[in-house]
Amino acid sequence: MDGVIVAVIVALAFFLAFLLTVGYISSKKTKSTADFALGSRKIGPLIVAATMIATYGSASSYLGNPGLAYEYGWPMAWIWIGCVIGIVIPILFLGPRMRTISARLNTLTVPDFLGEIYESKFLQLIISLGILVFYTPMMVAQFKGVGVLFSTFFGSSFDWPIIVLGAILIIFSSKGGFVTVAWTDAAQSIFMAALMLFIVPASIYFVGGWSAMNEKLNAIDTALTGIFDPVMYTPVTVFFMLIYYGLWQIGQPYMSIRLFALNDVKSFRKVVIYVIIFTVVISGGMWAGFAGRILFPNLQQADAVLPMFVSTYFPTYIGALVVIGVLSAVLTTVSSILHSVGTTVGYDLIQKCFHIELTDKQSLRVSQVSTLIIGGIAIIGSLMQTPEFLSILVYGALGGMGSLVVGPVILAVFDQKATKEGAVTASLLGISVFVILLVFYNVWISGSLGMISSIIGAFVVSRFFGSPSSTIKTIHKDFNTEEKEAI
Amino acid sequence: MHMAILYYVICVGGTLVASILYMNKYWTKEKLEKLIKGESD
Repeated sequence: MDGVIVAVIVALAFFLAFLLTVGYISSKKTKSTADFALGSRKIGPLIVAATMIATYGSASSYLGNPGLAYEYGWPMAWIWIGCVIGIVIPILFLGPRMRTISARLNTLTVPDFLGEIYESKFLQLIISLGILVFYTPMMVAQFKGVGVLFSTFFGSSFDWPIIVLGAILIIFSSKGGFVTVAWTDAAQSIFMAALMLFIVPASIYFVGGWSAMNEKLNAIDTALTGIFDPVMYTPVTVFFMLIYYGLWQIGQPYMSIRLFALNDVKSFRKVVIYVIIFTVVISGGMWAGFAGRILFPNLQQADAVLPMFVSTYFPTYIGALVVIGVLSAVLTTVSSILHSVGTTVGYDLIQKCFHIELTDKQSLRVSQVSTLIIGGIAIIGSLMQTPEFLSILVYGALGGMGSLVVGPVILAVFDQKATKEGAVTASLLGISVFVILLVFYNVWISGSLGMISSIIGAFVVSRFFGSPSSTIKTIHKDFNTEEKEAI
Repeated sequence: MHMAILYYVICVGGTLVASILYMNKYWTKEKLEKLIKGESD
């Protein structure tokens, strides 16, 4: 165990040194709000794909999902089916158009994008407040995850890892902005993907081969090798889950801005291929869950199955790398969310919604200071007892944000008749449907129906109320002309 | 059918093939250049 702790400390020191170095170098290049928010749209396809995966995945890819594989067996792979489809759909159908519109309107965030295209500051305000309300508790939960990780695996204090790592995280995020976040995300994704490549063959090997794995899982419970699970992954639940995963990413501002940041529209082709490869490789973690169910049948905490598998069957230093990888997955997700919330507060709320005129340098400072303050609040929140409403906000954060944003985004990109009345109604309708249904159903059902309501609401109301903004008319007229000319 | 086939072959393989077909049809060089041209206007 001493050897493991030494290996973890060394790996952690390298990881933190890497974070601070990238933060320092990026801060030298971050001279404007455009640099801070989007890296001045100069991020290459590999980094964009890797940062999308890192932000998409979080610790759930390495702890939660292998834990579900341990508990439910193969039916949990529906989650990964949803993830593969869900990450490709927005890039394929929205990526080039969103990137182009965002560059044309010079918008830096999703609230800014929607506010400009619909010419509605009210919509920008609603979406900005949604980001603040839903994403801040998510950061609190992720920081708590850091405390749990350290106290569980190393028996350390719960508070100090949060304070120290959190402070480093908010400093590098606020100084370096999107470039820092993207590069650290990319490093984490590539690093974990490399480790996950070993998990699949090792899992099959240590249980005695593919046939033995199936036979042993079948002997424990036939549902473990089935397509559906009678309780958790029923056909109905899977149906809503696939809709949920297919739509929710479109509605997450911290994911969409990665599409804005790509260096060139032509690079989207590479992004699509890279994200599919990354997702498949990272999903390999579930195999540790299948093998773990056979090798450690009485595990108290299913979420610990991947670290347990690696620390039992791999050399010590690999186990240490996996623990650091999981930690970095948590931290890079927090940094992405923090960057999104900080930019929203500093840029969308303070400057755009409250009409405060600032120079570019002042604007950059405001975004950086907002990021520092929001990060500080999240750290303090994570050290306190979590009120119950915060737990509900975390549970419903992604579905709630998706229900607020999906309709306005899809219609802005595809519908030349979309109006701001339709967009505002879609946001309010989507979030209302989601909140009401969440009382009765799980997040997949309430989230998917909330997002569908948002799309239908935006479409229907746009047909009857208001008229499209001049921006929407111009952009869609240009798109239609371009398409006809291309044909 | 085993879930591994459903995931790795049908879902991942299908998504990959469908994406390539979609990109070849809708992301032609001409169309993307038109988009980029619109961006710089």
